Amino acid sequence: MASPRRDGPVWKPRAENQLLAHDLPRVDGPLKVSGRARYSHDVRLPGMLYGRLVCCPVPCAEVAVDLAGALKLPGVEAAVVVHEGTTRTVGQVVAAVAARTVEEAEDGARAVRLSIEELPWAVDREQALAPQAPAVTRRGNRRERGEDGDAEAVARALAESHAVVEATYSLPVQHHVCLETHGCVCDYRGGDEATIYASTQATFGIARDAARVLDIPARNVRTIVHHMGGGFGSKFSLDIHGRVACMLSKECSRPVHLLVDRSTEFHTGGNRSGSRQHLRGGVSAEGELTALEAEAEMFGGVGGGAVARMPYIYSVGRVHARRASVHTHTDSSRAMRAPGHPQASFAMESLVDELATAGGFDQVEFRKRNLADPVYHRQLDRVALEIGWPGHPHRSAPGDAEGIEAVGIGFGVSVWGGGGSADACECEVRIERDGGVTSSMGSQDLGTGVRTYLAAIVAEELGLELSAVEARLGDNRLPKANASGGSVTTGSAAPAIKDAAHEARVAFAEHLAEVLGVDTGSVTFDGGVVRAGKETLSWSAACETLPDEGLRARGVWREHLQASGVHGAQAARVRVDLETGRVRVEKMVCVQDQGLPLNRLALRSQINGGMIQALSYALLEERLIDPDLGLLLSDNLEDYKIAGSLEIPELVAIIDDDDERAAPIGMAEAVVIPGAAAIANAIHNACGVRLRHLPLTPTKVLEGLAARARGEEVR
Amino acid sequence: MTRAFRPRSLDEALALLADGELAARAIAGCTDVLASDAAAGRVPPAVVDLSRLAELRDIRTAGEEIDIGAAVTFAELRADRLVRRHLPALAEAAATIGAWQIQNRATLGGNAANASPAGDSLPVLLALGARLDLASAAGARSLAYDDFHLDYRRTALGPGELIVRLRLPVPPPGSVQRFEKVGTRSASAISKVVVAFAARRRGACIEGVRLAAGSVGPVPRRLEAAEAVLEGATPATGLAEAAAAAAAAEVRPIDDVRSTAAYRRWVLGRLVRRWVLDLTGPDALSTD
Repeated sequence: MASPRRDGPVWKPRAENQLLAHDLPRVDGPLKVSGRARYSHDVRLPGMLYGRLVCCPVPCAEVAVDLAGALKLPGVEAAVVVHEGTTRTVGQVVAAVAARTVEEAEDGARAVRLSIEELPWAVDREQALAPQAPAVTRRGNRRERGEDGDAEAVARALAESHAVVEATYSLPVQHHVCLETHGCVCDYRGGDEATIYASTQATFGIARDAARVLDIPARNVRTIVHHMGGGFGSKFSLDIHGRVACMLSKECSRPVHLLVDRSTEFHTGGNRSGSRQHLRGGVSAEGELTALEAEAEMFGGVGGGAVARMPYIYSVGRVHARRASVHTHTDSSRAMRAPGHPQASFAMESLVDELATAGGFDQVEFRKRNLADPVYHRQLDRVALEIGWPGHPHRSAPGDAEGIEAVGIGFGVSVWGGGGSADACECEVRIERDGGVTSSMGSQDLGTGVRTYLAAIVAEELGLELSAVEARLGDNRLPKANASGGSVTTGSAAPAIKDAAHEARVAFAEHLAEVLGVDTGSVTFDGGVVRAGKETLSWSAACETLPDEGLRARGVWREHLQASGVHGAQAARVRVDLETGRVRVEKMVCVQDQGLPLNRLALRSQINGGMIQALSYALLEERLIDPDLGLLLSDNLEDYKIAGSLEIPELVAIIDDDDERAAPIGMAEAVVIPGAAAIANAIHNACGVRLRHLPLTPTKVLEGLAARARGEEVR
Repeated sequence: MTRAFRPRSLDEALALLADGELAARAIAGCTDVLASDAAAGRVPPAVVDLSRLAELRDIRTAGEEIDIGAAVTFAELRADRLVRRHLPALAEAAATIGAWQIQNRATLGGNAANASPAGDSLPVLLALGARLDLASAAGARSLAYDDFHLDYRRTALGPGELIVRLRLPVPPPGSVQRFEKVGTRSASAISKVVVAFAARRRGACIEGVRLAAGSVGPVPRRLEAAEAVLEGATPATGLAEAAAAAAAAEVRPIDDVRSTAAYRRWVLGRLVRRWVLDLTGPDALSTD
């Protein structure tokens, strides 16, 4: 029988969906809240050993390793040298031990003898840029990373500006603080096959690295990531932790569990680079941004660091911008949720706020005037309304800091791409004779909700309940998928899932048409039943007509099923205690677009998470290194504080339904970007204290209030 | 390897602790000692668990006192009716220490014996005028809590001596108490400054003033200079500021990973000032 011409898959208009564009509780929620979800940390295998790392205790040294003492200890089954010679960070892994229990492994790690010849080091900017500073990289401690624009044109435009603001903004190094620390369980028992249970953002990406360490064919390495406790950009590779697990497993042909403790996580898990940005901006009497001179230093340790390009989102007449990496003997920066963007946003949004104040402009109107994309105008109006800006007393000048507390409001905007990667993902949908439906893709769910839409897109297409479709992911034996980072997963995966769902529906309709002798066009799937011509079949009755092997359909990425380019606006309202300097964020509002909202509940959760992470960055988080000893002081969650439940304000997450794009776009990065700036701006709005250096601690608030009382400006 | 003992009577516990060769350490909730031993790689030769000793486990009224066993947990204190009614500052401190898991294990006597300058219940014990019943194999004695903390992490406890009970006077009618803690975040945070206040109004006068603070020096301490400013005073312009200045001047805070000396000093003064303004009411506020 000739196949009727198939129409390609298209996303339905939002209102016609039964599942998509609705609130869908995540399908793995019950497993997670009941403790039944098995993370890599939870994997226990017969004969499994526990691995522990031995790390360099000083910032820079010549290190030699002696394993003999460790190998003599009871329970220690393997020990390996990971690195000898020059080390460049506290925490650089030099050796590792595997033993029958965690305690024996820790004893073993302590028994590894290191010969350390400490070398000169530099752990902060001042030390790295001092004359005669020890070289962190072969190319020096300060590396220019790019320059855009015309400095002279900027100087001329600034000279003609109505008002000019010049200021330095800085941000500390931030950690990812994934709930699940780095590492994996390597199950290698000799032979030429292995299974890796990893906490990773790249289920497919890590197999080749593991194969290289194990010296077996990459095709024989299976990787499993059924549940994953957060990555935020820090878990794209097998990493040192995974490589060492494989080395230990190879050494003794036994499974090795190596997931690091919190201190090791802080030392070796990477971070968001710090930065110091010197900006000079001008504004015209009419309220237009005339010029920007921007100089950024990025503090990525032995890595390069990141700061997004200036002017961040805003339209500025003339711009000259330079970026440089300043290297130190500290752990390398890595990708972290919107790499470089929160840093650029904090500096630029603060400067915009300062220029609006200098010119006496309303903060919202001033932003709209200098944002070209009209999407931001409607989003800013919406968050302004929601946060109470229209009735707020301090819209173009800050409050006067009288009394014991002050309330202020601040704003910021965000941008992200969020499109998918071409041909990176495939999906397989199976309909079984017994009525079971599975939707499979090897991708990983970092907590973002991939598993839920993997089922929901298929259920929507087949007119089934969400629970009728089983989603399978986190396994490199399933159809291919890319790493989850840069908010590309939705744009990469959802089109392939949609395509597979569509293929399955069309193939099932064709099959039923043939079996029942009706027109393919008359077969519809809705509400758990199948209508074919004049007949109505239950789903299970329809499936019983399938052959024993059921029905399989494969979907590939289709460009038109995704889009890219997201926008967001956020507002924060704070209450500043003028006596203790404590800042209570009372409310945050975010309006975010992302094309078709696949799962509105997951999106709002993602928005809430972004605002919380930004609040934590703004008020609390700061990596502290003792400049005299070179040691990390904040290697635990007591000294490196993240926001707790009592810090969380009223959060209003608004999905921008004025965005009429039909296809979904990734947005998780965008929502973490503007919150820190919005909070800093709100503090200024409340009491006239401009804080230019994160975190926004009570001490800094009090210093600012004291300076304001003396009529000074704090820089 | 550590030897662990779980005595069933106080005498048995004291005998174990008196054994010099055993070199045993008393433990109860272990919330601090376990973590700090693990961090330092210390392995104590022997431990004596106090949590089964009935003498240390109850709260009762004895005359004009609330008499609290040293091994009563903060969760128990937080929920206890007597404590909530008569010692609200202690109930509040108990509800603020660590997280619930910590409060379920950590004990009042342990907090005192551990003697951290940041121990949240310690300023409360000072402000409420606690007395300690101490015991060792050599005998029992009573000690004013004011005399308990000698220096950084050093107490008046002799070798093998235990805190058995903590006695706090029932405050007379008209008394007010307050507990204030400033940490990096609202919960599960070690204090930057922790303060407890107690006083009563008699007519226009303030009397029975006891103020105490933690995290502002090597030991939790009374704010005697501030007390002297306030004792017997009547609300007047500048009283709150004078008390605040006295408090800020008499402490010796340090810079550390959690805060700075300057911030601690300033905030202590502001907390004292605010409390005095609240205590003395709108009269004082209007003259401010």
